[in-house]
Amino acid sequence: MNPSALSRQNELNCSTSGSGCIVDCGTSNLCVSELSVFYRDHSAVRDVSLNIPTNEITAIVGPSGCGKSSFLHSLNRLTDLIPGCRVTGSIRLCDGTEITHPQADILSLRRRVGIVFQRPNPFPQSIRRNFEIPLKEHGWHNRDIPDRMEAVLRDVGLWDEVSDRLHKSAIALSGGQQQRLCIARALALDPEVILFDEPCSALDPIASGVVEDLIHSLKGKVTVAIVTHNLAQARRIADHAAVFWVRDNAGALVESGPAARVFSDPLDPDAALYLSGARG
Amino acid sequence: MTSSKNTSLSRSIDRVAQGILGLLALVSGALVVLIVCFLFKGAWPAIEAGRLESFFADPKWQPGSVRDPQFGVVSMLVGSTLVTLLAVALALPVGVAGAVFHRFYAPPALERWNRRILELLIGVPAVVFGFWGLSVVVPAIVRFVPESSGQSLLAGGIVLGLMILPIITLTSQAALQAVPPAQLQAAAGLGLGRARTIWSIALPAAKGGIGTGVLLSLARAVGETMAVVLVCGNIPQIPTSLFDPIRPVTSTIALEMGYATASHKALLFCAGLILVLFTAALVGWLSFRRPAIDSGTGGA
Repeated sequence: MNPSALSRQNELNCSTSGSGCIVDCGTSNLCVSELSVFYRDHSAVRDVSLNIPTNEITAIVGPSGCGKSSFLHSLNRLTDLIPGCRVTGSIRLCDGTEITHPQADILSLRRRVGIVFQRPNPFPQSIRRNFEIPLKEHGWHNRDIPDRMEAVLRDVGLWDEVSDRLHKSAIALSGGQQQRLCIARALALDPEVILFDEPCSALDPIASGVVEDLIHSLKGKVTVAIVTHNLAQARRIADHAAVFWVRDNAGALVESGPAARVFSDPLDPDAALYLSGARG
Repeated sequence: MTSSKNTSLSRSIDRVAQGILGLLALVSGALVVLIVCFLFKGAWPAIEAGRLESFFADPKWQPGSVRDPQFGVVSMLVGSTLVTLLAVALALPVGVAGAVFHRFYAPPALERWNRRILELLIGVPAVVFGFWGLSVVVPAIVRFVPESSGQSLLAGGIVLGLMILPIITLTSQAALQAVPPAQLQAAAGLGLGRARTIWSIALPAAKGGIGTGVLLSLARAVGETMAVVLVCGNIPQIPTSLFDPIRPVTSTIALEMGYATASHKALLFCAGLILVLFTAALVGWLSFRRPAIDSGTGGA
């Protein structure tokens, strides 16, 4: 996609979300600048600035403990749930909404920036309730919910597998089905961004492949940021890549850019060793 | 050589310990069986004489009457059941609401103190609850409903409710604490507010634990004696309103066992047996009911 097309798409995306677009982030849906995450006195992530481009897939890779997940969770304020966790810096949505603002409307923010976790976490209730609960919370009418549920279940390729047992517990599904259900549940809220926190690492290889294809298929529809340990997976699906590394006892962004360039020709020596499989 | 001696010594100590522990464990199990046997033995004369029929068929309980002895226990079973259900009906909403507050709203320090106070409340003797009921609850009821004597189903329900409140609150709190963090994280990730997270996620997940607390407190309330003797009025009748006096089975046993003779005594044993069977049924239900859906994540 050429730059002008990208920026057109960005405007489109912004116009659908209702308010004027601040274009200083270029084609990015999420602009992160100088973000730091602290757990009490320890800083887990330090001074990360990264743009996450609209409707493309950005992979965040790096060794364990380098702050990838902390970074990802700060993008929709899930870090608020952790006692003693503090986030400084700025995260802006394309309409200028400042995510780190103390008075930000966290609930509507999390509707706009959804998340899918490492372990599938459907509510231990019926498949239908898994959609009703969040959709009702965000103001959907009861009569619109079945159509919405069917649409997103079709999007994730789960409709034919579960349409006859929507009243059964979501826990009875297989791990891969549960994860696709969680993705559908996130999609149902019509988010602008979906964060994936190692979405395949708790799944068997076949289910993992299905979920990976599904995430790949979201390209062009929604902005994706995915943390993964699976470099091969990152290579296959990512348009952009960001490499995190531990610097001075804190997670830092050491390399970012178009995935093809980052994977083939990394500038940072640590990133180069990590991506070649020699370290990490 | 020494080490092998040591080993054989420690082995025999272990064997002795195993024997002693096994015996002690057996004693506590055997005691339950013995108590039930004892009740059966005491109740047997009444069962043998075919009194069980009058037990359920007689309209009144007047075992001491010479002209017209009657042994109807239904009113007391109804009294026991009603006062227990009333106590749970009063304590359940308050207990669950308290547990929700302490789990989701209160600062952790307050939650800790509250738990300590509740544990203390469990330890308050029943007679103190009964005394408090008699000197506070009963007069309060008389003030609102002057035509009642105050000693009533309602008074019993309130006092019993207060006694089981800490059980329900603590078990509910434990059940809410045990809601998997992954569920709460999922709820937060979907932008669910606190109210909906509690109502649609946490409470359904804690349902099983709260149910266990209710069953435990049912067993506690139905067997409670001292407090209900003091506040229920002790008239064996089927109540027509909350303000009527009642006489639960336990009260009857406590009040009459001291002077009962022969067949009367056997009938009291029958009543005791029924209570034990009722509690056993509750405990059985507790242990054999379907465990709540495993609310962990991942899975098959």
